[in-house]
Amino acid sequence: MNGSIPDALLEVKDITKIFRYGFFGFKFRAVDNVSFILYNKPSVLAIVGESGSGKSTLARVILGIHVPEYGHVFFKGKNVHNLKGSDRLWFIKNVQGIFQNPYESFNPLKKVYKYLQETTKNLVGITDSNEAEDHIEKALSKVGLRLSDVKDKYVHEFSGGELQRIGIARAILSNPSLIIADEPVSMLDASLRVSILNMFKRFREEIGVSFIYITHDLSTASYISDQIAVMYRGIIVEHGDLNSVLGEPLHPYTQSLVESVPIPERSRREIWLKPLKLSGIEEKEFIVKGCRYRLRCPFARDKCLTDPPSVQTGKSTVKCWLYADK
Amino acid sequence: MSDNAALTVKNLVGGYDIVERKQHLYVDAVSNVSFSAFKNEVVGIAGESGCGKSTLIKIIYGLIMDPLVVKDGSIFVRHEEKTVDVLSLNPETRRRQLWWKVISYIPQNSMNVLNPTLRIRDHFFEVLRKHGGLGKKEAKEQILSYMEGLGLSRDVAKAYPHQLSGGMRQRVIIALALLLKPKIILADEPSTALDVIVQRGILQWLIEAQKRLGSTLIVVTHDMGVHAMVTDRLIIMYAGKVVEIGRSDNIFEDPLQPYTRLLISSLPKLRDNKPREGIMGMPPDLRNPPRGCRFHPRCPFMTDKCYEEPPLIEFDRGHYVACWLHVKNR
Repeated sequence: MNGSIPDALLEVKDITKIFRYGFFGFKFRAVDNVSFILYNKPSVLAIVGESGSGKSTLARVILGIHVPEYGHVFFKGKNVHNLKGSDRLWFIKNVQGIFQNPYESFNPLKKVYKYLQETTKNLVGITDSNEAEDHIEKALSKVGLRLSDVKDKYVHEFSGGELQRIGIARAILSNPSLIIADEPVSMLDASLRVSILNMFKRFREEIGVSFIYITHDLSTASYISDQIAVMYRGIIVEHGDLNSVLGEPLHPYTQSLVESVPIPERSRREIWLKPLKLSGIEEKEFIVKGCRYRLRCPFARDKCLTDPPSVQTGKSTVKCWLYADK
Repeated sequence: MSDNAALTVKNLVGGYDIVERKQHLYVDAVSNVSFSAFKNEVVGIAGESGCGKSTLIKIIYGLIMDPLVVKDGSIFVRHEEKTVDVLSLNPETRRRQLWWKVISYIPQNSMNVLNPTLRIRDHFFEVLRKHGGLGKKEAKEQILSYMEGLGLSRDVAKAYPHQLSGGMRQRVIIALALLLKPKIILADEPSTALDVIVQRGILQWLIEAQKRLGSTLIVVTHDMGVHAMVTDRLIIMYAGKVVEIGRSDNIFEDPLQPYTRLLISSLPKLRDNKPREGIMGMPPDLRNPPRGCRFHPRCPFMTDKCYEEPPLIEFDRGHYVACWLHVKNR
């Protein structure tokens, strides 16, 4: 089966990934019936969610690391979980990942440069070592590093910020059209974060690469993305244009999320300090019937016992009964 | 620095004595820090990783263990109408007289400090018996009503730590720290690993408890957003030094030190896509910090004067800054 949308870069269609909770425990849907489309022009989609929302699982499904129980992922029309031979290499060249902890992404016993060399050889197909060095130097300069800073060093000799830059340089070596970045800046200090985010913005404009930026942090998502999808317990509850999702959040969960983000602005204090009630239930929310937010939702009613429909309103799609009748 | 302060830190110098490749090194983590904190206020300590904020809080609590050493300074707390220097007491006296009752400490990643083999209520029980000097029966009754008063149900009291979510465990830790009504509460990144909604709930809950007790709460976090939401006053640290102290309103409105200014302006805000710049360079290695103002290698306003250490001056009422830009007749 091939993708049905001709000008789609990535088509994620009805993806469901099931995990087991505990060895003999119940099954739950870490990602539940998720669909979205990235079109063929450079853009940044932020997938925002808290711990346990399924956002990293979704990233791994898209990267082909996890095979979903239901649904398909099409990259430029080809099914990601059914690639053979040269198509597999083509996919890896075109879709690269960047992960949260750069210290875990590299083998501590190997020189970091070796990774860059291997990627150049295996994905770009440059075997001559001088030519490879030139290629690597170009990629490193795009992330603000020099070859001599990197060449003879091991992982522990770099700071987290430098290593994350190297990870990004490695990802752009093969000139991908899509980069999936899973919490790429959450380990870094505030003063270094923004320079990485600016780099993503620049790559989108200059190299024309699209990003799926996965994060728990609404502020950085708001800084770099065009579109935002909010995930809650495996489901995309709201998806739309940046300004509509953050400016006029529709889903009660998005509303609560937007209101709760602490931002360095004293004027927001009054709203933020309005008392909030916390609930103790968490695991239950994965298997609850109907809307998974209903146990916490201030607007919950009987209708919410059945799955809410996806409703298109303005520039966003929201999964909530509140908007179903309008 | 005033006499009626609940806590006064004076010229504190401390750091880590380490041996690396057979060489003795000293990590200058807290370098001549002075400040006061008062009853009924929330004071934030802000700074990036490695600026010495957690070390400072550990020393204030008196949790000084190898390789952490205190070289100079004093920490005064008010206790039973007297002023006591935490550092002059021996560790055993500190533990008996001050901990839990006068000063409480909520350490970093504290949701993992609960004993996995003990039920939640037994944690409270132990603190009450060891430090509160209560009998078994009295203690039991007091615990249940105390926990219920804080919204922790009987189910929570009966549970083992692994049965609770991270947010709930953090609430338990905070409830434990507040059990003996401490005058000073030290919280090191109390909400950092939590989701934003849970974080908001926990911090609201912590401030409410602090207000009820009339205590002094010191919150250490790298997150300037949290500081803007919860603190009354703010202390900004950079590479082991205090670079700015002031009312949070003033610091967010008009930060004086270039580091504070750049730190705040580098943060992306919700619904504001204005391009922002990070601070160039990296924080220094505290084994060998730059001389003079420690921010000078990264500072856009750096002059030759900055090789000399700037004094912490009172620029405006209650607003202190250490930067040559603000010293007159320089």
